Amino acid sequence: MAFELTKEKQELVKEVITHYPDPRSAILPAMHIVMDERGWVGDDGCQHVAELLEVPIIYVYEALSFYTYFPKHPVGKYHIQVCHNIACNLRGSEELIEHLVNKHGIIENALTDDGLFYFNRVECLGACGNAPVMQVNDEYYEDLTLEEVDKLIEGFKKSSGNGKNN
Amino acid sequence: MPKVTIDGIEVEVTDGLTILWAARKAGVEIPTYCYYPWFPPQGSCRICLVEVEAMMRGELVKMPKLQIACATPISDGMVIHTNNETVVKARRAVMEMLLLHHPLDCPVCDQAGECDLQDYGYKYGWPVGHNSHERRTYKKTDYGEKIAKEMNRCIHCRRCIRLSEEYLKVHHIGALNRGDHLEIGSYVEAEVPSEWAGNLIDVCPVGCLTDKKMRFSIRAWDLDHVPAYRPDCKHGCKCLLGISKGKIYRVTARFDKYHVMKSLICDECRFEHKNMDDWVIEEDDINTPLKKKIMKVPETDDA
Amino acid sequence: MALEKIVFKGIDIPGNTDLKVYEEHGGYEQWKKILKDKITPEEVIEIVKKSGLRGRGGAGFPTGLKWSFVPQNTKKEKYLLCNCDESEPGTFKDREIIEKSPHQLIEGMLIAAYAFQGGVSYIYFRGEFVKGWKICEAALAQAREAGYIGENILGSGWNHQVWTHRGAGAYICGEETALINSMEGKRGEPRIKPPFPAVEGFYKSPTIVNNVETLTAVPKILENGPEWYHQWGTERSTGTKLWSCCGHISNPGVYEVPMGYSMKKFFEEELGGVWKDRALKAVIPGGSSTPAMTPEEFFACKMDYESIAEHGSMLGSGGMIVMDDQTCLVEVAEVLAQFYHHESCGQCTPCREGTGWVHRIIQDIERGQAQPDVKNVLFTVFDEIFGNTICPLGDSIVMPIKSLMDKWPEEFDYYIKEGKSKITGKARRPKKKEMPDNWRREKPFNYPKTEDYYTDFSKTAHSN
Repeated sequence: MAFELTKEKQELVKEVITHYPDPRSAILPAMHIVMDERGWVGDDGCQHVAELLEVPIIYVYEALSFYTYFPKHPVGKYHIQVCHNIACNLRGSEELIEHLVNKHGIIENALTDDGLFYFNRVECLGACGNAPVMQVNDEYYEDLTLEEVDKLIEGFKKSSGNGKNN
Repeated sequence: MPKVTIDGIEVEVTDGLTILWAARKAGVEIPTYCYYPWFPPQGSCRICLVEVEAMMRGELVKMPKLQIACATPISDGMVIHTNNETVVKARRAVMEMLLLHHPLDCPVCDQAGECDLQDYGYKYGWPVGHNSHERRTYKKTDYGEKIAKEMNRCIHCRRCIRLSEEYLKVHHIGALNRGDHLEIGSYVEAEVPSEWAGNLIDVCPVGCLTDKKMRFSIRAWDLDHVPAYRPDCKHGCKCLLGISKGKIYRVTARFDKYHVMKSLICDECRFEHKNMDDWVIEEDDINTPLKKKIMKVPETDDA
Repeated sequence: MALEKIVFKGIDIPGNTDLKVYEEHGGYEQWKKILKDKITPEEVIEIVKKSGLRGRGGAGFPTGLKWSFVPQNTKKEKYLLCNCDESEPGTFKDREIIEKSPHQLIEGMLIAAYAFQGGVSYIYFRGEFVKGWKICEAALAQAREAGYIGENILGSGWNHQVWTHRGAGAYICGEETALINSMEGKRGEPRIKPPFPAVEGFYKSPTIVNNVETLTAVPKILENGPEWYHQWGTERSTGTKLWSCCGHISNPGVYEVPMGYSMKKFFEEELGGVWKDRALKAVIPGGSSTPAMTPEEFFACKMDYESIAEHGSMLGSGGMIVMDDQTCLVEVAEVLAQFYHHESCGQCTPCREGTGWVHRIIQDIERGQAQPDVKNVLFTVFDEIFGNTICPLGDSIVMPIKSLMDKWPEEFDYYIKEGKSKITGKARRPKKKEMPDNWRREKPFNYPKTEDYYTDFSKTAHSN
């Protein structure tokens, strides 16, 4: 089934359009709204944005392929992004990534079997002072040590288990 | 009128002209890829870099960086070098970068013989390559029955995008991804929805977009080119027939001396009529100004 | 700690994200004063010009001068875009401002837009700054309610609207023309200049793009006057600058430092020296796009635009990356190359093809599978990229990596010759398997010199 935003979110997109002289400007904000709703923007999200803004779909597709912040496929419940740029690299992001792979079995660029985690490397997250940094969905986790990563992952697993019961 | 000196040749040009056109007036060749007179300059291919000395407070000052000839307007007293060592080096650099991932499949390319990449590569390129890595290849995508697309040959000049956006008024082609994965493609792999789509072939400077109907049938240098028109055409397209031994192999738009289309032609003329009886040969192409012909492009509703 | 924040004092005030707290500390006073006393836009520009404030995004262009370029004889709307697309590795000062002192930024934007008579302004956040964006949205809502933003502000008849806009993970959008393209919903690709954005920018209207730090400094300059700002720094670099310091140091963080402060003193007293009592090896002083400095150069320089330039680097955006003596610089070069390869927009030829090429070559070195002449090839590629691109991203990959190769050649030579790192003692990447046994050329290949193949084309026939 084709993807659609809820009515309130559609209103929000319509409101955002009024901020700009031209609806084309609202492509990025609209895709952010789609991402808030389901964590990723795929082809169907792209089509929906084009319909809402009444712009040619190629404009939206160009933007989607250019801006790497928008995932083009489902990314699980927790989208883990570890910075591997210079500042984080100097303070041990490589070990952190190895730890994620070896200990927790969260392999790069792949959804885990339980559908919880998706992990990929990203370029600088702009928090170099507190390196190494990891972003999970919208949240930053800074000054990480390997033990803290363990705790975080365990915490995520637990809370998602609770979520199922509810 | 401002006077500029280009490679020692002094020319007087109208105000607001770019260096490229001043050089053309002076008879000096500057290579271009992404520049097309129909569109505002984009300045992305960087092959037209030239060294500029401009008048600043009564003194000739060399600009710290090379400037792109296609977009830099001239000012009075400018001195421009188009073939000193710095410029030649920069051109060579751009040529090497453009050929870094190019498949160099010229023997089987239909564009061979009239390809800007071949011409400028021959003139301005390196005699050696430094590359020792694998070439980038794209997944094969297509534009339907009329246009053959070979993305690996693309030099990313984006003329086709700009033509379809600004003249054909179809929003079908776009630039996807970024960096060296940049691909010119469409959202759905389908024919360009325009009656004028064939013009993308003529606007492409390399063998990325070629005529599918004449593919592998004849080499471009074996063709005789004859200006002709088709009385039945409702648009009155001014075409150029590619003929060999009495047979029409392809129909293109007519070009001026800088290999720029003089006008668009419709797909019916381009692809459907390969019989000599349909055409009326013109003795010579009446040289109407370029602009008037471009203006004849019909609106989208027509297409 | 010895250095206290002056212009950016707001960062250290707890709860400063709330309008009330900000107003208690003299917030929006300058904005009210301008509207009440009917200070003309020209006067505002004059004050900022006199203060010598320079753009803090990296290029260091005088701010007042930039504002004065906006043509006033046009009927088009004029726009102010605040550049908060902070993605330069090593720089994290703007995040501090938007998360801790958003109102000062908003006041600065209102004043700046008033100075060149702009009616609408936007704050362009990088997509990852979700927290900062939410804080700023809340601050904007408060300011709107208090009547500082909107129509007929404080009864003066002046209208101004501020919106936020979020980018989505593209470093290149920090370049001002790319930011404008991104704001228009297009791919974030730089445009050629001229026309400059001040004349023809956002939807072909006059547009000013300023960095967060620049705009945040404006209210304080108006409050205390340009002479106050002149008390710090040198003649050409005035005021203070936020430095974000990271890497192998004891106290990473954001510091406000007066221009012209001694680098050695700052490094030892504020940053606490290199961590774990190790020795200093290299410093990239102004964000990853600037050349690296040796310890001697680093300690000799002062913290202002000119002095750092004299000592072989650039101040840039003030993102200091410190590396200790156990850092493998080939690895650093690879990480940097990988970043610029990933972030190249793909518009102009030398950068699109060159960044990937440089990255692949350095990866070869890291596999221990580089030809002996690989350094010559790298330097040739650097030459081919440098200065030939539309925007400075092409130069940005060349400057740091070239400086690393120039200043620490022995490390690169060792890696190329031995196939492993001089520091860590092993190769960082696994070897490519499909390489034949005799892949290594014994003798370097002699590439022909450019001069040998120089042809004077003015003497040949022209094809067009």
